[in-house]
Amino acid sequence: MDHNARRPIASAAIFGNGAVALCAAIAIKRAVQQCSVRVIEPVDGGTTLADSFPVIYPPALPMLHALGLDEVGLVRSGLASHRIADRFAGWHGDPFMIPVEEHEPPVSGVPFGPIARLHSGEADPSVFSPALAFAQAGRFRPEGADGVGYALRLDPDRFARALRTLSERAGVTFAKADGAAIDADLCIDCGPPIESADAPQFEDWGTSIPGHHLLHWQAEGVVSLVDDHAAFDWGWKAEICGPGRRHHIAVSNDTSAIPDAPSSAIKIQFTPGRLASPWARNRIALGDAAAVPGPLGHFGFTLALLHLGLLLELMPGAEPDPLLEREYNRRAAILSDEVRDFVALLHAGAQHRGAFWQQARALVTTPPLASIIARFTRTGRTPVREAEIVSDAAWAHALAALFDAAPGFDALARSVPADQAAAALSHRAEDVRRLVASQPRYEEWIGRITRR
Amino acid sequence: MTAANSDSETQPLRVVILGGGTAGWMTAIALATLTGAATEVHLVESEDIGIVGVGEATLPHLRAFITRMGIDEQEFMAATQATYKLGIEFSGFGRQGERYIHPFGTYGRPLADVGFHHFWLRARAAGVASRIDEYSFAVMAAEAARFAHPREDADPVESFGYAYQFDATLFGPYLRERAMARGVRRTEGRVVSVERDERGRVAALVLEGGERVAGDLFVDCSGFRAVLIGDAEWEDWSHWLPCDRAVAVPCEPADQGIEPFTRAIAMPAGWRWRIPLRHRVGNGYVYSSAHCTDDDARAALLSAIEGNPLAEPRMLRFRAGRRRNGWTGNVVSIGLASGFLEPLESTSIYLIQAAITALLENLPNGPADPGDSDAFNHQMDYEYARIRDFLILHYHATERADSGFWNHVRTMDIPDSLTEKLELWRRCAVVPQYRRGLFLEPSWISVMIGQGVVPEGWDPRAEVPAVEGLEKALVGLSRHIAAGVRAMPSHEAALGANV
Repeated sequence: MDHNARRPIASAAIFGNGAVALCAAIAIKRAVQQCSVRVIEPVDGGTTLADSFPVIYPPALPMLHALGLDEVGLVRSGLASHRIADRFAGWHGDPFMIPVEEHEPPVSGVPFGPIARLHSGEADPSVFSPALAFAQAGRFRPEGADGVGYALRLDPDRFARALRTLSERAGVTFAKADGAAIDADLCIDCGPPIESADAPQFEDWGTSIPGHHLLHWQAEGVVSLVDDHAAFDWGWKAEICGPGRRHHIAVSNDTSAIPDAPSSAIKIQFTPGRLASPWARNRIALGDAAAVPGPLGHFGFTLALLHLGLLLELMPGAEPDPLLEREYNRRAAILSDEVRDFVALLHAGAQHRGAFWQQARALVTTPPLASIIARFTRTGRTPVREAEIVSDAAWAHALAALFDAAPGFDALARSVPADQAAAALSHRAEDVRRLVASQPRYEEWIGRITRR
Repeated sequence: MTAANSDSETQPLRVVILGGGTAGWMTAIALATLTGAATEVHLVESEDIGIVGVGEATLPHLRAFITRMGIDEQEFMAATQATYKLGIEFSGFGRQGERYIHPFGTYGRPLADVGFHHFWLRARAAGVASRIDEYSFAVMAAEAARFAHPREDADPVESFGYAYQFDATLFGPYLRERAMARGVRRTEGRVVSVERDERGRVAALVLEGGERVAGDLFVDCSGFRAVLIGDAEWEDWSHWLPCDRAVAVPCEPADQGIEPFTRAIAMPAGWRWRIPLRHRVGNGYVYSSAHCTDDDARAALLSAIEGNPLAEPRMLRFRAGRRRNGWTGNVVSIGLASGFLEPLESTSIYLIQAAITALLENLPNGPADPGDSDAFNHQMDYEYARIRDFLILHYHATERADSGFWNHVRTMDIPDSLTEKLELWRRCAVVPQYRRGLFLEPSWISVMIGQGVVPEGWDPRAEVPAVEGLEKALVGLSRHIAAGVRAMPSHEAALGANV
C-alpha cells in the first residue's frame, strides 16, 4: 500500500452541552488538530446523569492527560475533591464502607482478604484496610497513601465552565441547535438517551437496577472523603460532599414518596440500560446517550471517559468502517456491563425491608453477576473479570458486606499456616495504624492546597 | 464482614496426580509450594511409560513460574542445559525465502497515544522505513546473538522479555526432586483400573499389584493416553491445524554458536523446529500425514539437521484439539490429556501453567463443585481458542502455492474469530484487544507483518508528522536500539557466566 485507505476526519459535530460533550470535543480536537470540531448545544437538552454527577474513577484518571487537564490543578482550583470510599447505612445490617481502590499485599502469594476472613475474628474491615481507616478518620492526601486509590469528584457546574474555556482555547466552535441537518464526518451524541426501553437497540437494565426517578438539590457542606448512602422504605438517598457544596440525591420509583426534598429540587428521570451498538456508521453515542448505569456510585461519567478513550484508541476515519465499529461496540459493552453488574450487586444484596428494596430483590440477576455471587458465597473468592472499572477491592468489600461466604473459604487461604497468617494480620493492622497517623486531616489538607 | 471460619482445621484436600511428565511435576510442585497444608499431593507415575517431554522451547511466562516456586534461575538452567530465548524465527511461512522473528517484546514506542506500527506503516508507504524488526530490541538482540537480563529501569524501547530453551526430559526429574522435598508423595506403578463412586466420580486409582490410591481430586497428566479424562468430549481442530505427526531427533551442536532464539522453518508438508541447547540441538519435523509419509518426513528431517544425530528419530502422533470440559466431575486434565496444539509458538508448557493457575484459582474446599469446574473450563476455553487462532494464522497467512499442504492451509476455511481479526487488521491495522489470553498486540503485529499481511489503512493520526521528520525519528530509534544491543554480551558469554 502506498497510501492510507483511512482518511482522517475533517469535521466533527458534538451534540450536548455538558461535561461529556465538552470532553469529547477537546479530546477529538487535541487528537486530530486539523479537524473542525463544533459543539451543537441543545436549546432544551434535558439533564444527563453523567454530566450532573461527574466522578472519575481510577481507570479513567489517565484520560485527564488526553484532555490536557492537570489533576492537581483541578484540586487546587477547588473543582475536584477525592473520594476514597462509599458508606452504606440501612442496606444490610450495620453500616459498611466500600473502598474505591486499594492494593492489599498478598501473604505468601495468597490474597489478603480471604486470609483475614479465615484467620481473624475482626468484624471491622477498616482494621486491615487503609482506605477504610482513612475514610473513618477523615485523613488522606493523595500522594504518600500507599496503595489507596481514589475517585475524583468534580463540581459539575465549575468543571463544565472550565471545560468550555479549554474547548474554546483549543479551537472548538459552538452553535445552538436549530433543527438543521448537521453534516460532519463524525457525529458524537452526548445528550440524554434517545432510545427508550421499547427500542430494539436498547438493552434495558431496568430489569436488574431499580429506581428510575431522582431528585437532586444542593446545600452548603464540608468536604468529605466518603459519599454517604442511606436506604429508606421508598428508595435511597446519597450525600456527596465536594468542595463547599453538599449534593443531596434521592432515588425512588416515585419522587412523590421522597420526604424532605425541597421544592426546588431538580427532577431527573432515567432508564438504566445501554445501546447495543453505540457506534453506528458515523454516529457515536457517548455518556447517557450510550449507557446509563443509574446514579448509585456515579459511574456514568467514568464510563463516558473510558468509552471516549476507546474511541481515541480506535480513531474513526472519515469513511464509516463496520469492522472498527464492531470492535468498539464489543469493548464498550464489556466496560458498560461490568458497571451494570456492580450497581446491580449493590441493590441485589440489600436486606432493607422497605417496598423499594423488596422490589429490587425481585429483579433479575444477570448471569455474570449470578456467577460472581455464587462464586463468592461458595468459596469467598472474588471474580476474574474482563473489565476492571470497579476495583478488586470494591468488589471484595461489597460482596463481603452483602453476602456470607460459605465456611471453609478459600482453599488457598487455608494453605497459609496459622502463625504466619496471624503475624501477617498483626503487621497489616500495625501498618494501617501507622499509615493513618501519617496522613493529614483531609479537609485541612485540601483547604491548605486550595488557598495556595 | 463474615466472622472467622471456625472450620479452619478441615481435612486437607487429597489431590492425586496421574503422570510424572512435565505437566505432572509442574502441577505437583505448584500445589506443594502454594497450597501447603490445604492439600496432600500424591503423584502416581510409571517408569515403563515414556514421557512426551513437551516444550523444549518455552515462553517468558515460565520465568514467573520458576520464581514463584522459589527456584534459582541459574541452578535450573544448568540442570536442564537451558539457553536463553528472545523469540522465534519463522522462515518461509509467508513466502519461500522470507523470514522474520516473533520477538518477546514490542516494536518502537507509541507517539501521542498512537501505536508505533501505524507510524511504521505510513513510513513504509512513503519508502522511508526499514524492516519493522529494526525497531524491536528483542529481534535485534536475537539476530546479533546477544543476551543480558532486561533492566527494570530500561527505556521502553529497550525492554524485552525472555524465556528458556531447555531439555524437557530433564525438567520433570528436576521438579520431581524439589516437589518431593516439599512433601509430594510419589508412587511408582501402572494404573490398571479406576474406581468410581455411585455418582461416577473417581474414588481411587488401582495399580498393578493391587495398591489403591484414593483421593478427592484427580489430576490427569497422563498425556495423550488421557487415562481419566478420556471420555470427555473432544473438540477436533485438525481441519484448521492439519499437522498430525512429528518426528524428532537431537543432534550435535552446530559450529555457528548457540542462538538465543528458536527456529521454525517451513517444510513442504509442515514445518521444522530447531532448538539450540547447551549440549545439543533439538530438531523435529511437524507434518501432515495426509501430505507426507513417515519415511519421507524422517528422511527430510535427517537431511536438514546440521550436526550428527544423537539418537534414533522418534515418532509422535497427535490430533489438534482439546477437551470441551477439561475438568469433569472430580478429574482435572492438565497438559496433553486436556488438549493438543502443535508447538509452533512454544505454547505447551504455557498451557500447563495456565491450567495450574486456573486450578489454583478454583481449587475446591472439599468435594469439587460444578461452579469450580465451570470457572476452570471457561478460563481454559479462552486460552485454547486464542492460541488456536494465532497458530492458524501462521499457516493461513501465506502466499505459498508450492505444495499440497500449503495450498490446503492457504485456501482452507478459518474460524470466524480469526476472520474478524484479519479483516480488522487488513482494513485498519487494529488488533482486537482482550484483557486475558496469551498473545497480545505485538505478537499479532509481528506475525501479520512478517507474513505479508499488510494493512490498507492505518491510524489517520500517523499522517500528521512530515515524512522527513518521521524518517529521522525512525533512523534515530533504530540506531538507539542497535547501540543498546552492541552493549550486550554475546549469548554464549551470558550463558558462560552462569555455568
